Amino acid sequence: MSTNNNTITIGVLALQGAFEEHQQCLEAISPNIRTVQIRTPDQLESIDGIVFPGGESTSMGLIGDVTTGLWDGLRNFVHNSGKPTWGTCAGMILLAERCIGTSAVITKGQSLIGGVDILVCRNYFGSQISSFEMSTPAPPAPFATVDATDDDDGKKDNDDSSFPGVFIRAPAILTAPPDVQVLGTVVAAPCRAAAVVLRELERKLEAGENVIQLGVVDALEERLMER
Amino acid sequence: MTGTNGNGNGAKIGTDKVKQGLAQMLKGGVIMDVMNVEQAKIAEAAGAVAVMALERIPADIRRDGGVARMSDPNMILEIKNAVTIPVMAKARIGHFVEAQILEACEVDYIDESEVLTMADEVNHIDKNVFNVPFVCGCRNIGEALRRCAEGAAMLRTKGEAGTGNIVEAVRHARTVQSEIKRLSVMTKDELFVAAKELRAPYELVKFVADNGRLPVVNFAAGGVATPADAALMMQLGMDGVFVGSGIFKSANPEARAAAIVKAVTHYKDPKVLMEVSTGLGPAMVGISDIKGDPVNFRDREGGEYMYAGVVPPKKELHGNTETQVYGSSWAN
Repeated sequence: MSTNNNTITIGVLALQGAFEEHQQCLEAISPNIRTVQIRTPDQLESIDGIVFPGGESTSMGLIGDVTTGLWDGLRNFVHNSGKPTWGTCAGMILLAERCIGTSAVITKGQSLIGGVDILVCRNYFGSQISSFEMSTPAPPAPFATVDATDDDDGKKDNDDSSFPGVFIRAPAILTAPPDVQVLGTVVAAPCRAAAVVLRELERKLEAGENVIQLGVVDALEERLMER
Repeated sequence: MTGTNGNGNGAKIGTDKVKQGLAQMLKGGVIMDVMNVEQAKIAEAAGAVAVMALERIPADIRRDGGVARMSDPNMILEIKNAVTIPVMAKARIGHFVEAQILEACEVDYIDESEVLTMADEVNHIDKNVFNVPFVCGCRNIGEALRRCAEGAAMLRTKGEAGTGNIVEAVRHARTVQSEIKRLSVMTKDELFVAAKELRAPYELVKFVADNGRLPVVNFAAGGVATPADAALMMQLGMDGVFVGSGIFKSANPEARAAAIVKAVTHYKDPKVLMEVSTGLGPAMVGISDIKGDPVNFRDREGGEYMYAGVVPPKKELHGNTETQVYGSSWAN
């Protein structure tokens, strides 16, 4: 805070979820990074970038929807400001252009901010009991350098090439266009509930409502045939 | 306690990180008690982060007495199918088979709850052996850390469920907070004695002293009835709020549920709190004299209960939960 020119202010959407954890991680990167919790649209004016943290996407969408002007403010920030935007887990769902597996109750579906041209399936892996940790490919340089502590003694440790992935009632990105850079992939069959949703989508696709290729659904059909 | 950084693609389930992580995702949210699909949908539409599926809400258990047990799995599964938010369910203290059944139901969290009748007066469930995470109640930091040692991945204040009276939840929240502050200024040698006095594992006491916080997320529960109650608990430093009887025992559940959700998000903004507190209709009637009430959920803890391990004296029958459990013909 000594020199205001160097200070970067990052907003963290604080409707619900792990926003404090994101603030702690961001502030640990550098003393020049300051974070603010975003709950109202006017708080968006002073920030240089925004993070949409993990949490319950249904709740975030509903809480955001009833907060006057917040959703429009966020849409404007993400689509028009040109400032960087980050989405984790539920936050990523909010940033997706299309989302399936939303609640039966909420008729208008998941309230999305949009901005990233991806198709997301909520709760792809199932209930909490199917939540898991696994190594995923390490992100490229600008992100990986944050944790690079044992670089100097050569690359003996394979750990350099992997990154701990934590999937808690996690969503999956099913499709991404070529101009979206995919950093890593996990191969997994969808849970029962997600499979039903995906098959329903497949049926709609066959009925000609939209045309997106879904490799995952094909793989699922094969698995079901085996049983 | 499972290792994490293995190469290859072996996915590990039921690790501490995964179990405690879901609680972190629920932070800043409201978890609501629901008794059927209809109520679950009202809760989800109001913005609840999770629902607690149970057959009788605490206010009814207080009133009706009888042995309160785990809910029918069918009812839990119906609710699971009706909503996309996490579904929790309660097991009796020490009843590890109820917990096994709930795990088989694939509930997202199990509440080893003092609101249900205790199944074991000495031992709690060994929660470390389950893949499904557990939430447990606590009145003070010793109790909180004992539950963490047993594998609880989330804590909540006990409060006094079903009373609509926030006083016990405030007491438990303030007690835990002040004990954390006390531990964090202690010297290293004092911590050994503190662990002894708190009857909690030294490693966990040291963690609290070093980090100035509990090892897991801590929610408020037991007596939250209004948006103001919820915001009070948030301002006291709680990570989120459970609302049990407060919503579906009130005049207008939809409006009250949405108002409490909004109050928890904007807990520091009195203007929003004023707005959401307006025109909700009557709150649940509740119980003001908690000490005089014959039902006491909050003091139920394995190994701590008044008659743990000994034959209880003969008691007069009043018909509430407690006396029915001990309504025996034992001579003094």
